[in-house]
Amino acid sequence: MPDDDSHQKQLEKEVWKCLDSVHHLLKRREILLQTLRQGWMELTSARYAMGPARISSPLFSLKPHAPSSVVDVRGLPSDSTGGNSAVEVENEPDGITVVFDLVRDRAENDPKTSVTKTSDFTGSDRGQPPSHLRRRVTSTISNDDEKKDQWEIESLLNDCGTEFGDESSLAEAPKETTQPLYWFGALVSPHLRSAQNSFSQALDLIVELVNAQNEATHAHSNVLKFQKATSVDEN
Amino acid sequence: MIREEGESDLVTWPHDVTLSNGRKNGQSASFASPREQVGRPAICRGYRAGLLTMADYNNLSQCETLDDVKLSLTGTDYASYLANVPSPLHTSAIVEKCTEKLVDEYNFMLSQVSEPLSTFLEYLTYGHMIDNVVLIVTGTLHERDVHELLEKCHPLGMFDSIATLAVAQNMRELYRLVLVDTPLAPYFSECLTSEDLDDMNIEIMRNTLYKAYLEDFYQFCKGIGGATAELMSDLLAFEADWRAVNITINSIGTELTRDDRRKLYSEFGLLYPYGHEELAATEDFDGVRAVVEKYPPYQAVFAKLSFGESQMLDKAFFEEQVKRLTLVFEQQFHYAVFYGYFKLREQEIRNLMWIAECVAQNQKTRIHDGIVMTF
Repeated sequence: MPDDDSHQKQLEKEVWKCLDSVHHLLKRREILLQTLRQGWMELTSARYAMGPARISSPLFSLKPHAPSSVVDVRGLPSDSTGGNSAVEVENEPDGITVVFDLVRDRAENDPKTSVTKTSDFTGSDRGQPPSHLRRRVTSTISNDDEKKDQWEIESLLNDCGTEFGDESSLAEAPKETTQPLYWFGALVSPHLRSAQNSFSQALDLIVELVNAQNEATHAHSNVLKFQKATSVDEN
Repeated sequence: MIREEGESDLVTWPHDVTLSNGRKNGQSASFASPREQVGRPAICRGYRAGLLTMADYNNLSQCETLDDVKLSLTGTDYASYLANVPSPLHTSAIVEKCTEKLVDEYNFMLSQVSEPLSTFLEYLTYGHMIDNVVLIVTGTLHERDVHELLEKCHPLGMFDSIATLAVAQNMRELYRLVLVDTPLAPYFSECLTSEDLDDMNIEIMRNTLYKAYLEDFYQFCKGIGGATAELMSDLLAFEADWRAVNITINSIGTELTRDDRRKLYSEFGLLYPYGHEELAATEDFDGVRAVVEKYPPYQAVFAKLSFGESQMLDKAFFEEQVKRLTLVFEQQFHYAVFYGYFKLREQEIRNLMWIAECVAQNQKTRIHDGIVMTF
């Protein structure tokens, strides 16, 4: 039966996709583990060279500052997605694909903004249209959210009784991004720089891992779906 | 001929080392009595026998958990300090208790000695004092709680008004409000500016203070004379050179200018002055290597590293330092044994920190990358 053959072939294709995505996931997990271990060892080497008191948690800055990296969550129509990592599900009425990007601040060591375009997964079964997806990048938050944040900041100011010359500048999100490396001094050991690089890479890998996991989960659900379809055909 | 105990006049020793009253340039200093001549260094040498041996480090390398590390240390001088540390253990707790032992030994020795040895022992704490000042100032800049910062300060570097450092806005205030009454006051003459305390200025302040302290300590030891001057000059010159190399490597790729870098180097040591000029101009690790390898005593340090490798440089320098520190115990009747002992203890604590971290992170294959054997 031609339909049975096509379902069978589609099932095999989805099984291969699932195995590939699981392999990708496990590989990412292994690389993340190694990167984190390397980062922690470099941190230990830095403490060995500089002294444990010079690299310790009391030196972390508690000053408000902009995040150095943000996760950009965007919902795109599925016909506009591209790239190898796009996962499409057939027979889904709403072609919505959610894309995770890691956006770094340009003030970091890497002069170019590092955008890690991660794999997609469909948001149609989540039941949320893309306009309600929350973006964490401050410049694109909705007006309602911005007003709510403004109100929260003003009430916090009133409670604390803090006086600043320009309260409106405080109400805005701080634009400056601090370099965490300099919390421990301007002249730090190369081991500490290396540790920061490792943790920075790990951040990229974590985002990749999350999306690899979603992709693997989605591929697995596709396999089950086609398996069911195939067994119905056989019956 | 030895005079009556308690007299501090001229004393002649069999090795033709003549000691005279007071401390003058080029002349050696006196001990108050023969008891101090022999007794205090003997205490130090007794403490030295308690340093961990290769067998101890081999046992520690076999540990699977931090509790095993604690158990391995029960047969050492740290037993009584670690006995009451509750589980679960943390690396910081082990380091804290080992440091507590070091501080107790230091305080005991300080209480037993008189001038000029007491001043010599106090000089050993000024480096920690500088680190504590920078820690408080940096932490305050980052809006941390002062009490939290005080807990992290090294006990050997504490002084009465240290908590007041948190109110200073610039270096002039730092000096005027707090440091004018501390032993660090004389070192501030090059740091007195009204510039705000930011990360780079704090780092420059740290290194400028340390430079002034090392130079002062060097002159003090020269003033003592004799074997103390000879041995301490060599040890402090090595430390100054090592600092210069570290400053150069750590400032590569930062906004520290060549002139500022040059100003942070101490004005003594094997690399002074021509090596410093070349180091100030280097832009990468291989350039540093090319400069320092011209000096024969440091060729052995870089010989352990392959070309382009900088990761093991710290350990190579620590090994060279330990080699020099162990040699001071071969001579008699000088103060350098005290310096040698405390530096060896600090290295031992560093080793224990490394071992504990490797065990905690399940990276036992890396344990021997950080251990510097003392004996």
